[in-house]
Amino acid sequence: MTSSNDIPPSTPSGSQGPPGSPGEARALRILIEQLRDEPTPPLDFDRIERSMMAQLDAERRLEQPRRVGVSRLVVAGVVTLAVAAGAMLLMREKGPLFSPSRGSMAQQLRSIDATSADQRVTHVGIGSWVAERGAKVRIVEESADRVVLALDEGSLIAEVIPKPIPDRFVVIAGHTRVAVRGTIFRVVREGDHVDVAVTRGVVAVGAEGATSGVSLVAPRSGTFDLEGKLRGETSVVVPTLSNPLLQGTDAAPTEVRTADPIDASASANTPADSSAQAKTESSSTVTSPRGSGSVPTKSAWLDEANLQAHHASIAADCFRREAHLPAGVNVTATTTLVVTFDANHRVSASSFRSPLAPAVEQCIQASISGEKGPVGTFETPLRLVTGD
Amino acid sequence: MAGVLAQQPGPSVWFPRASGGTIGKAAVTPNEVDPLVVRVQKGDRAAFQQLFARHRGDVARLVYRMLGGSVDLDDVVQEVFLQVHRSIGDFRGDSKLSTWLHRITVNVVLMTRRAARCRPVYSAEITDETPHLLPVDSGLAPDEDAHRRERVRAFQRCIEKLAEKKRTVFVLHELEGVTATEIAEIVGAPVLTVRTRLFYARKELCELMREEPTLAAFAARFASAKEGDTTEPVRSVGEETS
Repeated sequence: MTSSNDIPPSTPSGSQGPPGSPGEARALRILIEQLRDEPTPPLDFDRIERSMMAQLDAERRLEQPRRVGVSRLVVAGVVTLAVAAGAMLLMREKGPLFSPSRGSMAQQLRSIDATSADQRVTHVGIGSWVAERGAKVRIVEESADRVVLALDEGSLIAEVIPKPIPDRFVVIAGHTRVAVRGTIFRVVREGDHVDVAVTRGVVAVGAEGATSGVSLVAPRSGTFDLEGKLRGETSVVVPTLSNPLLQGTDAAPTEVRTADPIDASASANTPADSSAQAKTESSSTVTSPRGSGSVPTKSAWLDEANLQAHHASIAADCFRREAHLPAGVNVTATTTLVVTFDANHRVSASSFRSPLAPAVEQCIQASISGEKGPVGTFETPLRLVTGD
Repeated sequence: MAGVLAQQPGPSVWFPRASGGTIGKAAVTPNEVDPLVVRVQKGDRAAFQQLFARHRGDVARLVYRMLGGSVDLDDVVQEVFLQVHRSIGDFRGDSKLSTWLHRITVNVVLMTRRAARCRPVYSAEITDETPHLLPVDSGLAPDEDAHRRERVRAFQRCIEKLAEKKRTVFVLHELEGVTATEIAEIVGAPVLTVRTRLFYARKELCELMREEPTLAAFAARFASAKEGDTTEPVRSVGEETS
């Protein structure tokens, strides 16, 4: 007879002697038995059960909405996983999203149709872009650090937050792929070509799936066919290529889309492509003339919409010519040109918010001195960059 | 003999005794989840009430043995089953239901004790003198029965003086008949540690018994008795009364 089933009553691990005298050990065993025989005090189990079930019911009522919420989350998670798995399968079947194959843009997360008005889209942490009126854009890939757009029609302007992540913002027009890391740029797709203009940063343009292409360093523009091949040569672009809907840009809030046509003869960047010239006009992606005052106006004086682009073009040209920097040295200057036209539509005053080199200021002021424009004072933010 | 632990054959029966018993007598072997538990896991309210009815006595007994009569047992038992209800979804049959219930009960008891230690004690709550031993029909004469109750109460005081870990192991093994292996699972300690704690619990109890006059005299009566005889020696007239 023993008081325990598997433990010797008086030895730890069977290695030590009894904890007490034999009499104490025997008394201990009897006391244990007597204590074991002691009945538990009577409890009101019915009351316990009622109280307990009431509490459980209360907890259940409290948890009901949360459980529904959790179940919905689970369902949403399952759906998301299923979609992701389907997308992965699709990609596996069709190869890389941007492979040279023509059917590679089957993916589509969202379509932006700016038929009646500009549509602005912001990707937190990456940047913003505006689908200009008439544009049709599809977001084919969107993640925390990468956005891929397909420009099916029209134009878009984008500002991408600079980060050293390759291809974090990509626009595909036809099979022309425009990849940027951080910049302000505009892509116009029309007919069989794509115009790309960069006002800040660097944009790589090439064929979809190709490993090489053309780098457009701001301020520069180029016209490409739908296979990503450069047509003609690139040309300088004025630094006003922005859209007021884009926030955070330091470019002027110029209405670039609805500009009156600037003389197309000045946009000689794509001489072999008349349609490209027409596009340049309509999008006010003007090329910089090689001499001041060489951007003629179509009307008697510059209208308000064209004024800033015109002044920016003059300033860019003067800055490039008068800066006199050693080869390989690039300088960027930011200021605002303030021009006042009197009642006779002539320039009565001009100044710079931040001073430029005297030679540059004189060049600009001399260039605009004979202009005619709408009555009033007009400001043109300038971001002037030397070098190509 | 009432109260004598004896290993019974078969895995589903735990040391049945004439009185008491252990939690989960009808426990199934590990990984074979009791159908009643499955119903409870599915939210069957009636099944939970059935589970409560089946195990409430065992839980109440363990709570009483670990806490004595110093707390509101109703509240502790209710808290144990509330915890059972909240946690039963996690029960996968990896251990016996009885072991699982023991673990929850022990945890709730320990929490109750810790909470009680933090609670200010008012004079009206001093329960050390509160009589909580119930009369047991032991077949003894009234004075003998009174002596027995006094010894048991003194013994309970000794157990109360044990450190928490030793007391838990002692109560589970000596009073509830739980094996060292299962105690190790319940308290989350190696089996060897459980054995060691049990040894020192017994040793300390022997020392504490010497400090309790009633128990010291009781042990002295066994000193001259034949070794191996665990029956209580006949008390001579006047013993323990002076």
